[in-house]
Amino acid sequence: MGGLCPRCRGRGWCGRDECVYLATLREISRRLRRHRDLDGYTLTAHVSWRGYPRVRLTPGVGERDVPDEGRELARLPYEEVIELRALTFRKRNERRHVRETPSLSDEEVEAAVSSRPVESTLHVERRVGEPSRTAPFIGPLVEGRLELDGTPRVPRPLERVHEDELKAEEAVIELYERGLDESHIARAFSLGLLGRTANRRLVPTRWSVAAVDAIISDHLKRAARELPPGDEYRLLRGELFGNEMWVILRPEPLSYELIEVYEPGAPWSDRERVTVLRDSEVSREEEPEETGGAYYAARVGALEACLDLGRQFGITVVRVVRREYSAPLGAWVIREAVRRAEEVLRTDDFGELLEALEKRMDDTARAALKALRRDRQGTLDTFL
Amino acid sequence: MTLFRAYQEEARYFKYAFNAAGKVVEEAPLIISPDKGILSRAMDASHIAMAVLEMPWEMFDEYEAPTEEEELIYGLDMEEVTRIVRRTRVTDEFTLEAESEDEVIVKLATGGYEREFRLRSIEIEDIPDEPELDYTVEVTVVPDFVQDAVRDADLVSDTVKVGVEDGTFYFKAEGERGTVQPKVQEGAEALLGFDAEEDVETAYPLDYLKDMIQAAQGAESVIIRLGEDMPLELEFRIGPAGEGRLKFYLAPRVEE
Repeated sequence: MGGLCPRCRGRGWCGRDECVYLATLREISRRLRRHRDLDGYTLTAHVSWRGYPRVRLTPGVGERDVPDEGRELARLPYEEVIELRALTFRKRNERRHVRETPSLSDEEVEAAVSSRPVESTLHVERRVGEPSRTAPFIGPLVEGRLELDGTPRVPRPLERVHEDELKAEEAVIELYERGLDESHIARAFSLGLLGRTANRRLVPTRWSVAAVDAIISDHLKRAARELPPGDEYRLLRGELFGNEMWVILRPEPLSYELIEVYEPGAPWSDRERVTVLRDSEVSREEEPEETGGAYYAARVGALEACLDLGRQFGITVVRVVRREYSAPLGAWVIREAVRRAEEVLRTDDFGELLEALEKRMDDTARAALKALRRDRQGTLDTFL
Repeated sequence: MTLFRAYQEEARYFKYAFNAAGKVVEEAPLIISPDKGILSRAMDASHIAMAVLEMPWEMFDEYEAPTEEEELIYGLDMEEVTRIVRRTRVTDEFTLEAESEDEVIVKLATGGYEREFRLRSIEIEDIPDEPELDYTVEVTVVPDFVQDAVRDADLVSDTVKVGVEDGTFYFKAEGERGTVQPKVQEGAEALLGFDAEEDVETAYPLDYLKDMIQAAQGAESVIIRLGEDMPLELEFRIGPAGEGRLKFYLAPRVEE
């Protein structure tokens, strides 16, 4: 079950005075009552996973000219992002087989991957669904007609990798290197615009995000392996929307793990107990079993930090999820939270780093520390 | 001109050893020593595991050691090696040789025909020294026990404790779904050798162990060396009379 909001519905579990969630629901109803034509911007598209391989491709129309991209959204206050999301109306389309990929010249698709949101009018006939109750939080589903008033502009690099039929993996890396936001790349990936024509298919949004983060972080991993080993222990800290990130860098050959701690009441948490999840690269399973998409999203940010420092490290990312993060918004929040992490300590003594963490963390976050102390993977270097 | 050549009537020993080593390390040197035979030592990229291979010349049915005094060193992309291994039958006649310093040649012969694979040598940056460790425990068990123990443990966890207590050698895995504890006692048929100075228990990552035990199929017995908070050493004797050895070192899980 997704966020706290849809379960609590205004009972104040998140500790806010005013319920953001109910306010946005009220706002949705008010809009739809007042008039049936929504003037706004086509800024995204969603591919459902239910019914796979027959899925729905739903363009999203919001009322503000803010791209549906992690880097942009992360600059706004949390409540504003929730509202933006809640008021992004999704236009329901007929189901289609994932192999029937749309063309880039399809208006709705072109607008969804445009570099800027495209002015549009959504003529609503009827409302067929509430905002999504599962994460990430997205707006209501409607039936109707979408009319583009502006002209979509597809970024040149995207157009090129699409036309040149670069392999999907190469295309994702190319777009990342060109500076496209991961959300944007994942959207193109999900709409079946990347890869060799014969291999193209629609990919449900939630899978596409994890796939894109996995491809990018594998790419960064290859680069980081070439770097000289780190010299000291470093501790970085960043935060976004109630996602507290601790990045612990050890002077060891490159490795990565994510430990997640959920405060009671936070999305997906246990209501009474602190929940601790952990996935490590050491367990070389194909996919992270416990932490899902968060594992790859945090890995992108953490590896970028290594590349910035010009050294490789043994990396542990600790994510502490607070109750304030009442409506989960997607993997981009985790990626951006790690990107915001700044160095708070540098030392050659791991014990000192653990002590510093102990001091700075509250009881909830310390559960991660316990997991870290209890058990982590050693290397052979100490025995050579 | 042949720089070296090693021939074995059955590929069995190489198939299992190279398969396991290829899953553990990404790349490895192939060191051709005029007096010691064919050797290799490599760590995986994370430095969690090391594979050490020793195949003395006596292990082969026929061989031509290098005539120069210097060692020949080739670099193997183990993923490529694994691919060839997959195409190898245990009953194939097996030849490893080289005509130049740029590539090694694997020949597989069966039923009157021969297949030849040429592997381009890659650059190997450094060859690690083998760790010298003072183990307090050495046990020898039948390969089946280790295979079962590791696969059982994998049902409930991704790490496993390996230890000795009161003359019992055991694996122990604990997870939310339950606990498994395969064990063998001193005096049991499956325990071929037992030498413990003290009781120990150390945890190791199962994923690596799962790859390593692939070598058990080609082995008569497995020697396991242990110490408190020390790497685990797995040694498989390979070759018709166990002349060769494949060893793995695996770094422990550590507590602060």
